[in-house]
Amino acid sequence: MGIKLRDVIYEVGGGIPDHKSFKAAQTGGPIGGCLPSSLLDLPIDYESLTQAGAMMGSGGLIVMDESTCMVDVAKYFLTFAQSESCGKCVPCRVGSKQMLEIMEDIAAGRGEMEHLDQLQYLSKLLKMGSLCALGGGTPNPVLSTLEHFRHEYEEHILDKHCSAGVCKSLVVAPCQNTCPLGTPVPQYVGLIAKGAFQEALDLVREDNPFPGVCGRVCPRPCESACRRGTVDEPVAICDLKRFIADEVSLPEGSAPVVVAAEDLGKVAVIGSGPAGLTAAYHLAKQGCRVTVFEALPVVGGMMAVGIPEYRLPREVLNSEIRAIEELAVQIHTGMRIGKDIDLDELLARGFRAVFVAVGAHQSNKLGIPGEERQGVLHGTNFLRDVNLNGQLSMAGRSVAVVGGGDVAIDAARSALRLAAREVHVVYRRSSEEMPAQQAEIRAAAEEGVKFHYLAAPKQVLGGNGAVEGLECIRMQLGGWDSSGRRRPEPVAGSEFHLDVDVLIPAIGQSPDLGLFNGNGHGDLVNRGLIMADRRTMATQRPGVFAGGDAVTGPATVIQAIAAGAKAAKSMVRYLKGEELFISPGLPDKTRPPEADSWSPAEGGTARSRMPELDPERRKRDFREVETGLTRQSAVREAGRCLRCDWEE
Amino acid sequence: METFSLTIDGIPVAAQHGQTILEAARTAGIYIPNLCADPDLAPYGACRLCVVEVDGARGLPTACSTPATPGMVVRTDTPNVNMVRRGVVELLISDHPEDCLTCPRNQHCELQKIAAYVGVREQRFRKLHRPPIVDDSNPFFRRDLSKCILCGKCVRACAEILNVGAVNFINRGYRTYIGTLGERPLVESNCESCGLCVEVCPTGALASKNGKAPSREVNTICGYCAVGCGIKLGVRGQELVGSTGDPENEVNHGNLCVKGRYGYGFVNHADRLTSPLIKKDGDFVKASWDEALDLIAENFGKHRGDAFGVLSSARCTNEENYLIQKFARGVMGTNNVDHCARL
Amino acid sequence: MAGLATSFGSGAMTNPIDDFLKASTLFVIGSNTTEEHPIIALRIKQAAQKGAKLIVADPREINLCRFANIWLRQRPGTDIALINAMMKVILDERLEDGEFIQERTEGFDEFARALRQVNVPEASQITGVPVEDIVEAARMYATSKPASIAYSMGITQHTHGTGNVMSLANLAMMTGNIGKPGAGINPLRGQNNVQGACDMGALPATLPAYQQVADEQVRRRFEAAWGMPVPAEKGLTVSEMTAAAGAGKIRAMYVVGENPVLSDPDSTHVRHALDNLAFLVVQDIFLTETAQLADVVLPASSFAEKDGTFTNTERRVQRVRKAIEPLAGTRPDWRITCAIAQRLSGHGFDYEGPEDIFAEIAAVTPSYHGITYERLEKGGIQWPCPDQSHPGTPILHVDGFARPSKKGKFVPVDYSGPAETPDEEFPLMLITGRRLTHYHTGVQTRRVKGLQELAPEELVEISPVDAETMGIEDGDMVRVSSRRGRLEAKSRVTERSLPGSVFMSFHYHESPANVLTNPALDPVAKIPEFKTCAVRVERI
Repeated sequence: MGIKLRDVIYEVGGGIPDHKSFKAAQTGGPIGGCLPSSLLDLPIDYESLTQAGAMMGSGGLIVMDESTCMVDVAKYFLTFAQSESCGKCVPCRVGSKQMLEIMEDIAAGRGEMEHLDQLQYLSKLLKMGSLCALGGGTPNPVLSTLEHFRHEYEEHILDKHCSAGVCKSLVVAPCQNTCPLGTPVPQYVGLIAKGAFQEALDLVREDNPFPGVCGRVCPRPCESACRRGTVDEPVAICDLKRFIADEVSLPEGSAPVVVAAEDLGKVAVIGSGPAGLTAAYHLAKQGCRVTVFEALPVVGGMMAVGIPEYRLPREVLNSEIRAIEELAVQIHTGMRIGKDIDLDELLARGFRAVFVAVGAHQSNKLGIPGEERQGVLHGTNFLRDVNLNGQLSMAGRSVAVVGGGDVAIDAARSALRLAAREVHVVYRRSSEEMPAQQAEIRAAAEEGVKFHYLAAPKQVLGGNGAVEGLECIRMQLGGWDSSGRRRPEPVAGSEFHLDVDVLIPAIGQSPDLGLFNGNGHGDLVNRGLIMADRRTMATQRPGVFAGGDAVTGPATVIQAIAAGAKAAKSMVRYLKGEELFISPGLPDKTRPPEADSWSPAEGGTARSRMPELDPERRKRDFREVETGLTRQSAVREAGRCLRCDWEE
Repeated sequence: METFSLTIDGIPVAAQHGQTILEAARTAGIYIPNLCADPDLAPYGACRLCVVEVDGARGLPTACSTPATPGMVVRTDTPNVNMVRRGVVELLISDHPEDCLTCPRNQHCELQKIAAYVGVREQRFRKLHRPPIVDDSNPFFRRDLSKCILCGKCVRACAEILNVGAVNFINRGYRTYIGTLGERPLVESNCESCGLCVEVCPTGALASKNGKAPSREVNTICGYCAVGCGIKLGVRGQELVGSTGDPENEVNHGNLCVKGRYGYGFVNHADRLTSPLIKKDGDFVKASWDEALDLIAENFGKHRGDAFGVLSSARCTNEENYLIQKFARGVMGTNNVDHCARL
Repeated sequence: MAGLATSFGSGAMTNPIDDFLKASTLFVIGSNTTEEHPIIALRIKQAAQKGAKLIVADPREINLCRFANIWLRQRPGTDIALINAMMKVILDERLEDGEFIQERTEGFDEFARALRQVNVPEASQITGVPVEDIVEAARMYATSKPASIAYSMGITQHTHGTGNVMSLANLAMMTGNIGKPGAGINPLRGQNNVQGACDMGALPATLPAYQQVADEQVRRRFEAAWGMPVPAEKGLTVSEMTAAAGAGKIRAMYVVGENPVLSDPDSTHVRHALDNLAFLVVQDIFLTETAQLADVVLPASSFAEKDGTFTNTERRVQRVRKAIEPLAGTRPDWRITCAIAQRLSGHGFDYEGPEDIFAEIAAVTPSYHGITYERLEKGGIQWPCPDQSHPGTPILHVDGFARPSKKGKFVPVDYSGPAETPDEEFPLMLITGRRLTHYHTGVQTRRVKGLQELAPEELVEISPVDAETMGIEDGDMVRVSSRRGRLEAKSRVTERSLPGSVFMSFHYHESPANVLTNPALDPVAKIPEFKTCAVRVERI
């Protein structure tokens, strides 16, 4: 009694397996309740559990990770309770049946928001009106998930989407379900398998104007979800996308895009990163005259100034930008919002709507003594310099990069390519927790980057203003935090020195909204981020929409593209005077005749390996490391797809 | 019996020990809606319509199963009570067909009555569909389980009052329904067709196949066996259209068997004799009453005394039996009078 | 009737129906109560459910057996042996109620002497009931009081029916189970107003209220009241009249609402007898099998078309009310009888209506003196009800018996077997009785569509053992024959039937059981032995 839920799960139970994160715990069996991570520190006793909407019971403790759908869980427990109902009293017999039907509708994508009110009402009715405790407890799983995971219900109802990929009616295939943009992966992979590369690319480009970029830099969540991974290895989805982008686009030019005949008037997009340009692409296709304003001298946002060339050759990016410009999208560089242009001014100048997608370019500070010294280059600034200033050199310098994300690895490998003598990466947790893509970490290590895990910078050393070294301290992993990772704690007296003269902190970025704030648009900002509706991307100001890193904080290219596409959709509705948000339809799951003839490559067929340059050779310059799949290996790789979308 | 006082909705009510809140309220003329309570059956507490609030008690006890106690303060019209009541009625309606106008129980339906009492005007919940199991096997009544609200009155009456137990609950949860052992048609079960279940059913789930409602009722005594059950014959014009047990009668207290409830059909049967018949040359010929009576008087007159015999009838009234023996003895001069007492 | 009259001075249910709920022990013998008296059966089942002990004695596995603590499956016609054995056990174990015997009865010593000759193991042999069951039943009845006896035609319709009844009376008296709530001895009468018909003197030996025609004072009173002479010699019973008709002694008959062709034993003989009459009048609501033999048929009105009173099995006089007008062309029986009487005598039958007749009944019937239509509006009244302030008498013999000495009389009864026993030619015992869905000769119920659907045809119940011997399978058509006749019907092979016996109802004219039955009569009560006769069953 009184032990914390967290201790039971992590200490007694050994934590969540497979590096997945904790989502919820159900106590009290089918008529208990679901507790979210925010209640992990709840002391377990009769009163506290009851108060939290769960209960003490013999039903065990069911711990659920991110692959659990809370709607599905509540439905499951309700099904159980309903079948255990003795059927005697009306509230339990009919009420729980009504609840179950609603839950089934929600899970099947037939839900409506008023169903949530009905669930609340029925829950109250069962609690107050049932004959016994079973009836009174039956609503608990629904009530507790409604309280703690309401967004999942809304996602099922409004977006017809089940993030966990559990609710079958809403999921075409796990890969597609996991992709923020909902890319029709099985379909384009299927086309590649048939050799229909052009059709495959056209399909991808319907939603995504950056297949070449994504095919190179995407952290490929689709592959983590790929069911082939349970047989042998996931399909190399990302590499296949790069293959069609290279195979079709670059030699023959992009396929023509159909533009709507309708003229929806002028719209402005602020920021030419993946979010802004994707929005511009879709807005133009729908009949908008789009003007993009970019603060930097180059177009592409983080794609141009964040990602190093050895991962994303500029001509790949530029050809995809050119294809957008061909839709009559005007791009003005060197135009910074709040300085060169103002939101109100744009609206006054006849832009009927504005999409703000200024990204998150400002590196976070380490907050340690000596951070102001010369030789401290913040991650994003450093990468921008690398990309914009061809003269930059690190020859003979010894560099320490602090952080474990993609920016840190990009900075480290770039520094190496700028002839740094040695490059260290200091990360406060162990390698397993490192958020950067594993392939990137591996590549960096191959190139000679030295990793210092379980270490944190303590102060920047130096005499007359320049960096002369970095004092670090060893860390050890302590208790579990809410993300399910163990919290790093300093080991007293374990300080050590790194003999470096350049320090690149890369521990995260934030949007630079200073100018935005200063121009009377502070109402659009909260906690350093622009506030926008997560479905419509609308801000609280009519006609002003926002998306990408500026709204979410630093995220991936594909998330930014998804935000841009979503924003374009609701902006078009706005321009047409329609409801901003309309729930999408349910996926069409009818099985085409060809499905019967699909036979995936048999189990154990190895995944095609992306060929790459030799580490010793590649680390000297910014040539692209990965060289792309051959036609033969691409077609063979595509043949490994299980076509989950055709599952019966 | 000793009485005590309690308060229901602010009104002082007298109750007897052993009475439930519902019974005390009923005695005092205060209506508390209910579907599964019956004065002749043990409290059941399933429909949840009779929930009330009792000062000092937790939750919402059901009036049908909570004993009245001295000084108890009961409220039957609070927000929580009304919330549960309305919810229950809405749930029941959601699980019930809406063919009221053609339903045999129309206007005698307890569910209708309670929906009206609670004031349900809209249907918030989706329509559920109970399996449309119909058992048409009994010649007198029909079971339509799509209209069953599972109040269990039929099950309980058949078990508690009749000790027959022809029907019981099958399955659990929403899949619960009422059926016979082995789910056979009612006529193949141990059902005795007494129709008590039809009488206690609050909805159209159990309904007489006779579509005619009586325009008046006459209290009389069943004409079959010697138990002498009190019945109320339902009459429409000059036709008998129904028979129900007279709850006031001290013999049967409202109970009836299959013959008492459904055996009246012979009265209006086409085979009834409607004219005196005289046998002429071996065949019956219709005759007038005078003709027949004259012929009888003439012939009886020839056989007075012990050459004459009279069979009276155990199915005739006392008055008629008295007259017949008086006739035999006084007019015909014989004690040769008997009836089927021994048969 | 006659048996109880001998022992107690009155032959009716001693206690009201609701008293079954007050009994600690219920002894049901010769009554298939759930089918013949369903509402009384409800009370018996309720009593059993509430914890009363139930002893059922019946050769057939009737529905009540399910509720019984002990089921005594005696062979048909061996009731006296069974009851005598029970009483022997009571006597041996000194379980009798000495005080009651001393104060309320007479003739016990002689009775006890006779009883001492009874041998229980021998009775067990005769009845087929295990000794230990006899002992247990005897102890239960004698010790768990009050104990109530219910019986019906299974007791009376035997050649020794009077003996059966007197045995039960002896049993009740020796244990003091008489004159008390929840006790008593309760004959469940068959037809709706059989009690009333008897009360009214529709019997050959008694005038209303069982006043003997043989008693001159009684006759004087009635002659004064009626203004007509009353013959002194007692008349003939139904069966005797049939015989007299057959022999040409009775030449004319007036049959009101009876169907002796189907209801009386040895139908063939009955038919011949009625054919032999010079003049037969039948008054009924349908053209019954008997009416078809009549010279004149008079159309009567049904119970729903007239006012009057019925007296039920617990002596409760209740009002029958007219629900509809008499069907066009029909007349209520009382009107018809009056019309005939007036044509023959010219006076004394000019009643205004049933209430008028009832007033005369009350005047000449001591047990009905206090009953009026006005009082009956408030509910039934159980006779005796000597005056208008008297509430009626639910329980008889509370203070004294209706005999001149006020004491109950023990009458020793010796066991003797049925008149006809199985032999090689007719190896089975036929038991006749009723079914829930039909009534008597089926004149009414066979014309109720639904009842007919529920039980469309006769089923001859035969035990699996006998069925196998005879090569009969359930549902086979069989021929049942006795010394008097034969019929065909469908078979029902069932464990309900005691091996060696078959069961039939007499509801179906298509398979009229009474062509088979034995017209042998109980010498006192003149009741025919419907419950046992020897038959043969063959598959056809």
